[in-house]
Amino acid sequence: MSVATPTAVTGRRPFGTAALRGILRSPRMSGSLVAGIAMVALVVMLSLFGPRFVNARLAAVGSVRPSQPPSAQYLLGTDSQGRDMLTIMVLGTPQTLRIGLIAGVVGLAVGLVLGLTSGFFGGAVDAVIRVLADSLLTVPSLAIMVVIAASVGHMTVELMGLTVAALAWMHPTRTIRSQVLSIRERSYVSVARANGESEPGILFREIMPNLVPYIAASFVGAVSGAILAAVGLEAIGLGPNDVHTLGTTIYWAERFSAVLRGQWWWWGPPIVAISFIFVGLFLLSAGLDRIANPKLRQRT
Amino acid sequence: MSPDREVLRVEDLRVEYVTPDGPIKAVEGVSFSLQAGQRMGLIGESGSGKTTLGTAIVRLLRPPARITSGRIVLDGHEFLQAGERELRQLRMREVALIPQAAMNSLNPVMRIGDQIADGIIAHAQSAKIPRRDVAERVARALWQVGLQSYLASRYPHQLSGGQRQRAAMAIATALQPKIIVADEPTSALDVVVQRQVMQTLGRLQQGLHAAVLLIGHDMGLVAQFADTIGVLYAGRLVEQGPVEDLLDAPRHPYTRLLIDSLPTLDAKKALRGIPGLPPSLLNLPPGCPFAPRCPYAFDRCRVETPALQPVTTLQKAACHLYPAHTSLPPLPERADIPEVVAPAADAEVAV
Amino acid sequence: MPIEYVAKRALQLLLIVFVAVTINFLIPRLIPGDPVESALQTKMAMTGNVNVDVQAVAAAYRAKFGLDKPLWLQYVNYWGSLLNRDLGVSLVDFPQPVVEKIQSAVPWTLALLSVSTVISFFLGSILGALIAWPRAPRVLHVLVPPFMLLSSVPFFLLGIVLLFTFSVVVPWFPPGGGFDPVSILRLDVPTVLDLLYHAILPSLALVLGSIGFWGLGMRAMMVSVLGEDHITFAESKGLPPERVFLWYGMRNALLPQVTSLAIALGSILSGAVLVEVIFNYPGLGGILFLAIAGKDYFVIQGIVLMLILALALSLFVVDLIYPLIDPRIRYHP
Repeated sequence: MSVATPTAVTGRRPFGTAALRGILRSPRMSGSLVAGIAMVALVVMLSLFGPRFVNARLAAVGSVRPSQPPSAQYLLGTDSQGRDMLTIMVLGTPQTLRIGLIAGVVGLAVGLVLGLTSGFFGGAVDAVIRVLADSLLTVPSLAIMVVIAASVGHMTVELMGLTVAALAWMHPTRTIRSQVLSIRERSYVSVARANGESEPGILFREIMPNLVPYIAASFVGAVSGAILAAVGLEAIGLGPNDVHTLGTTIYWAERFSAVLRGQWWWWGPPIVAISFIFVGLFLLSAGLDRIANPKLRQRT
Repeated sequence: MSPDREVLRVEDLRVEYVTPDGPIKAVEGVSFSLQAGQRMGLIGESGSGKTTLGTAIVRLLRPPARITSGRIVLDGHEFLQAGERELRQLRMREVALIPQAAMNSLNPVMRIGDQIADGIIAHAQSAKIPRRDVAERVARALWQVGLQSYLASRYPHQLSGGQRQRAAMAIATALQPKIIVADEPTSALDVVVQRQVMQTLGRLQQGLHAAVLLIGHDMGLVAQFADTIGVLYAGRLVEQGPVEDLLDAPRHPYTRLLIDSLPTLDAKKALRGIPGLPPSLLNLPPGCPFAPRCPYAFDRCRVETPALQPVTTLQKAACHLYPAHTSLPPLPERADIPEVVAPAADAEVAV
Repeated sequence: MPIEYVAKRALQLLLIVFVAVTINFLIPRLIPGDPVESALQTKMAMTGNVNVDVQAVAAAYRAKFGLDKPLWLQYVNYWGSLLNRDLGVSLVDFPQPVVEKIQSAVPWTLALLSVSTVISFFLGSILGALIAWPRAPRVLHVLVPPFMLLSSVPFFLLGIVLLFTFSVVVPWFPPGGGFDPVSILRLDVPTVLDLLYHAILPSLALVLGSIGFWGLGMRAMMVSVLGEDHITFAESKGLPPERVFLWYGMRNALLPQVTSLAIALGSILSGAVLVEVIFNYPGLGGILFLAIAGKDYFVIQGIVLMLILALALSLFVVDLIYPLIDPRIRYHP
């Protein structure tokens, strides 16, 4: 594995970007990474452009004949409240992605700040952050999120994202903290320090670029976990009340006993969509893990 | 007294590592033989192929390494042709491996005694050892390496570094093998403990009248133990001979430079290293692999690879200076540094 | 077992409980809006008493439950009532104490969770270890893609699919619930069989959902362990391959796998709760669902507290397993 060259000494960019360019050029870009990117990209495209092609009014209660199985007219059927499933899917998927994205970004941002602070400054600050993160990691996340969600009066997509983010920051914090700790003690940082670079300078110029692969992997993990948590909360009734998401669709299906009534077109598509998103994110994170951890790349 | 019989013969062994960039030839046609009770040392720098050779001889190579050709005869058995069952039976009873860094080779969650015992039990049937004798054999194995029997109930992390290395020796030699391959058994230890361990190895060898192949990079250490020394460079045996002859009058330029590079307490002289770097085993230059760094190199060296031939009755060297000369000429006082051959960027394989 | 180890773990347990309970206490009080008032409003709406002055009733509730006192005093009172095993009363089924509601649900969740986890952990680990072993039949490798797929799908979604397939499409299993509604629960063979019959599908959801995770995890550990030097040394002794696999490979890989278990317990618990919702199983998940629908605030808090405690205790127990399987912890050098 190539040792990062200190910017201070050679003027060349450190590990992160060089590795990224090398990876993109090499035929060793793993199959899982490509598949993962493709799957996620597909969902994102659908979410961005899909809503323009559907009539949002068909997602309102009572707008179409209820409880219809899929047909030429209603490609994904209708639910027992008279909503067109295809419209709901097209409108709901982007909302779910939004929640995941908000939670992922906020969770990662908090994780980055806390991880860098904790790893770099150490001492009491590190101890406090560590205890807090470890305690929250060991509680069932659903539990805390239920309390938060139940306390909020009117739940929106943004609030949902924040709720889930509250328990999404611990893992990125730990990952980044441990990376900072190991990078910080490497010789090129000592070289930079000996050259008189200031502490924040070291932080930004030597440590952060090396964190890029870990940040990317953490982000994907955070988004994946966030969507999982959000879907779980929504399925028990704590989701946003004003929009459709994949999870709330499942909730309504549960409420109206769609499973036992055999109305598979109601809860089936959301499950397929959620699984697709998760598998795509999983492959993506496996691919990113290989880049972040070159030892995995050499699997023969 | 009847002449000691040959217990190990290695004939033209070749080992390569299969990599996406091409095959790395780690061992290129090594041949030698060992008599019963003989101590042979194998010296080489990192990247010379010595560990690969040692691992290959006991057939414990892992992919991407593989033996491409050659013959190993272990006490009359064709070792490379042996099937799985035969291979397992030959292990421990005929040939044993004493590993480097015992801390990594001992199972951390198993007691020392159990690690000795399971080897004995695995061979109990074929070696006709009754189960009730196992405990006694465990105690004897420990005693043989100078460890007290209460250590059998301890775990590896409860032992000191020297004790661990000796425990590994006890485990390996519990069934009194005829051949012991010791791969740098002291490299992870401090000097005082190194001496203890080497002394234990010596006593063990004498007690078992076993042949020992000691692999290492520390010329001084190996020379103190071995009767014969082989020098490995770029996967080839470049010199072989009795230890005193080799040290007094090395025949191969590499050996000469190696000995010269050892600091001595007797005389004060400038530290002399060997300029350049070991060659890339992926793209070996034609001719003698040492030519780029050799102060004696001439044209033939860069074209034709020298074979290991006898120079005196007991010493062999692979160098084009022979048989024209009978010994090494004095070192030319060259101020210029021989060309450096850079190793390949991706050679991440430990040989 | 070293006493310092147990003491340290017990202390950590208490610390976690303390932090979690504090957070549980603070969150609703920090979020603007009043859950009690909104719960009352929902109840009023449901029973049609729209003319009642909600504010006054809410104020009375708050006074009764001490919600109008200063924060620190509330905190102290909170701990006081916790230690008195008083979790408040249900707003929906007033005045049933929350503790009572929860007590009947806990054994169901406990049974479902422990049995499913044990089965999936051991089965998954063995399969994963075999997949990693070069000498095992290669056909096992066909399990890898389904493992990956299953571990990416949340348990409760699997539950939905299972419920549909095995209860609706082919009516082999009951459509949810923990027991036959018209039976009386006794300790006899038909009852036990009935309980098992109802537990199969939810259990299957949990097992299938997590087996992939254990399998892939164990496989990764085994690959790493099999590359280590002590395996080479063991092979150099000529040991039979089964022995090397079990006692030098799997035995050693089990240690990080147990760590994995500890880390994953939280999400397994969360997943189990959601599975219960799908199957109408009368465990903590079942009553949580009802409490959320009815905005039964104290019940929600009580269940959350119970989940936190359950997890902390499970972690403590798993921590105690370590010294048993890792002699490096049991015996200090």
